Amino acid sequence: MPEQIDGLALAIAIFAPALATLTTATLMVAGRAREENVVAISRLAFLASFAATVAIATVVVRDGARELTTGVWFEAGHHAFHVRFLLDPLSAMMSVLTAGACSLIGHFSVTYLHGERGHARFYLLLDLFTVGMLLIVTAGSIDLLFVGWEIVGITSALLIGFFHERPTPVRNGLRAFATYRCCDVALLVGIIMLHHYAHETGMHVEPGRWAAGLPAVTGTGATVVGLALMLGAMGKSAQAPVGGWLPRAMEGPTPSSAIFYGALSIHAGVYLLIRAQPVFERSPVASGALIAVGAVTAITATLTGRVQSDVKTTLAYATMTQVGLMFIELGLHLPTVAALHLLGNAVLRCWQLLRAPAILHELHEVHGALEHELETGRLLDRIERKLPGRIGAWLYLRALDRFYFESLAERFLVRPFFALARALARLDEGVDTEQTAVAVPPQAATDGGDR
Amino acid sequence: MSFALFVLAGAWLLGGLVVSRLATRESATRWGIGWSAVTTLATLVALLVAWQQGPLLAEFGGRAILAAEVESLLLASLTGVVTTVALAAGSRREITRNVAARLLAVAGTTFLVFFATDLVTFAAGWTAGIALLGSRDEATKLFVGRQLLTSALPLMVAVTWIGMVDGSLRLADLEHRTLPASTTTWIMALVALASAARIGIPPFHRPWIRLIDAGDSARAIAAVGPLTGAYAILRLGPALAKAFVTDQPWLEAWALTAALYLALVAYGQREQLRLTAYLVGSQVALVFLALCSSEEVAVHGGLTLWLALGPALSGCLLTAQAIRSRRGPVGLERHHGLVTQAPLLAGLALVFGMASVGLPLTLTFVAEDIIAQGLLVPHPWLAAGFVMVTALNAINMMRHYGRVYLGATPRVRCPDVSGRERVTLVALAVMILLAGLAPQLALTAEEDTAHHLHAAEATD
Repeated sequence: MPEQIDGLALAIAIFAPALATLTTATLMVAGRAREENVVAISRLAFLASFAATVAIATVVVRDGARELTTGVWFEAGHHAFHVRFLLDPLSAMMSVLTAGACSLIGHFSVTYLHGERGHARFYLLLDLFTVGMLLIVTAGSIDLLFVGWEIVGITSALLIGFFHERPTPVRNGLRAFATYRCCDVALLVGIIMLHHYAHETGMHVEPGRWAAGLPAVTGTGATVVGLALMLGAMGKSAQAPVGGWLPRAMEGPTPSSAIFYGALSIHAGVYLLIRAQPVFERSPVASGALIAVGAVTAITATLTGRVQSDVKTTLAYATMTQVGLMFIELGLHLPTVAALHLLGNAVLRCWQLLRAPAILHELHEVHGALEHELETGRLLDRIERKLPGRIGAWLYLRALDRFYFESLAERFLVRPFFALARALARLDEGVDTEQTAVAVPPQAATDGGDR
Repeated sequence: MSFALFVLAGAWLLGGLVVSRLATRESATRWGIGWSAVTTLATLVALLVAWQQGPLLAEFGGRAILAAEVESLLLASLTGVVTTVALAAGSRREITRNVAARLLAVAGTTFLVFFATDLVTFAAGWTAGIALLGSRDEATKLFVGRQLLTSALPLMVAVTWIGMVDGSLRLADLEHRTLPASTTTWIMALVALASAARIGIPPFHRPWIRLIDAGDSARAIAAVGPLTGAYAILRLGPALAKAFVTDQPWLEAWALTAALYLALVAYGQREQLRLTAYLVGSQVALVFLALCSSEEVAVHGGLTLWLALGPALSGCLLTAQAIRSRRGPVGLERHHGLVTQAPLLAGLALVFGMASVGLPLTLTFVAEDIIAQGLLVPHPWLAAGFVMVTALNAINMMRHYGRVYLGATPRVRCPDVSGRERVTLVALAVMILLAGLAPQLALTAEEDTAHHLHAAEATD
């Protein structure tokens, strides 16, 4: 009986937002996506999803962890994609957090985005994001997790470019998407190597563990799989040196920044690494790399965050810092600490980002009331005052330059890549591409099109 | 049922003849779409029958002239879908009475290639399919000329050579005979050349790109959409298994280099339709790569990718062509913001784009996952190259979408899709999404073919 309740609740939790996505898309295609209809559909879906995740959590707390296998999505030769879900304390916690945060953001956005041109588009993407995130946190195999992972990546990129009338958000969305895709290559390689070494990718509950983990691989396998998964997680969780997209992602609407880069999407990498703990426990190299990446990110992000001039960017760097600390905790094999850290940081950042538009107003009021009281007592301020002047200045300049991560990537990766692409295009064409691009019948250039 | 198969193949050719006799362009297009849709539905019925009862044969004088297995009927259905979509959503400027008739006739010749039981029918269908595309404009003439030279000629030479050495030109017999090793190597090289040229693998891609650039997307889709060229590998690969196995590393390297090259060249493009064309070429090269690999799982994935890419890439090219028809060449140096004026077109372009580059819940995603699973362990470098190309293409697709559809609202009008174009493209998008949700149908249908191709290679 509990299994049936779980299955039904899980189906409601995932299918309700999926259905909302489909309905909103249909309304948009039909040109009938009125604001109130879209909001009503999404609210209903979020409410159903949240209630279902609470039911799941209740059953998990009462009866313990369980695995649900609903069938095979596809199979070819020896490779089968099992649709397998896992309900344990970690996934219960994360699914309640996901559905709860999405419901709140959905509710918050009703007034925040009222009358906005892309109102229906926002809800469509929020619904789809909820599906992706719920797939990530309830997936019983890393294959299924990858599907949710990709959905989250696309919705994230599209929401960063929500205010598409300005080119900067669009460019930043593409930048985030490019980082995701490059790191997803590593994740995909990790998944396939896991298939190879462990012959399965399911997550299983082990005695003595509160969160189920990926199958353990040993030796070189553990290092290869661990490093590949870490690279995948670095992209989604904006860790150095690939985390430059996160501050830029703040160009999106505040509710989406709060849900993606405060609460959920940014922590997807940490969630993956918690699940991959059995792999990291068997590879000191991968664990060491995790600590190194986390430490570099935490230090550089906290320093960079301190020299930023707008509140959302500062919060973005604060999130990067905290996620860097979570990477260190995971490298030290403290998944429980990382999970609690994740939960606390997700709630706090989401709240801070939602309040960000009003924060200057509030700050002025607080300053007016307390005058200089606010300036004392902060640990980093005290450290900063005690630093020798030259080191302080050096760090200040490096922080302003964001520790050169982006400029180096731009100089040694992006520019050479595009130079190569343009050279090849010229070579392919034989003449300059611009000349042939206009080799179109003259009447085609007239306005209005032919349909 | 033998009669049915003749009717299926003949219906397209008859349709082409009927349409060419109609009085106006509009009536020709309407008839063409109707004819194409009905024939495609009939092909789907034949597919169901073949699935239940085994291969369909068309006999004449006690001898099988045409044969249709599940695999060939699947590809024939794909051809039908691609042709119908090209006719219904192609640029009105391009789809004249003459072109509508030619598209139907080309579909008929593609059916002949898929249903052929002997090499003469195979080569005749192949060559006729190229020749019938021809018309008076410069780009098509160039395309047809180059295709006849680089694709039809090598295939005919290969067929003649097989005939001279073996005596029999029946495809079924060929697999059970042993041709001299030196001969098969050369014949396989000719077949690979013909196949690569037909689907536009570099260095044979330029005429195809020019065809698209000149606004002849419907013909370009008809020429490459069903990936007729890849069928030569599928049918003749097992027959020339020894040479195929020997040539495999070269073919794999060629296909991967081609896919990577086209992906990189796509980044260097400054016009949206050309970028789409290169992106399409790069994805098609991945099918070639998977089919040429020695891993059964990867071949299986390649066959599925073949089915997935036909509709998705056609949709991509048609939406890009729709923008070209409405706005002329659209440069990629700045954002054009067309989403506010053509939101449905933008949504469809996004769906087709995502389906082309293997983003989740599409059949392409499934196929690419299977190919990567099949390649990674035995050929790690090949697999690394493969996933890199898919990632590059996905980023480029998003870049294309961002530049064309996002940005400040333009002053020049750009009408959204409407009428026939709307119905066709929405139906195609729904079909693509449904195929992604239930991929096992396609995979099951391709299972035997993948096994057959792999078993033949393994035997040698």
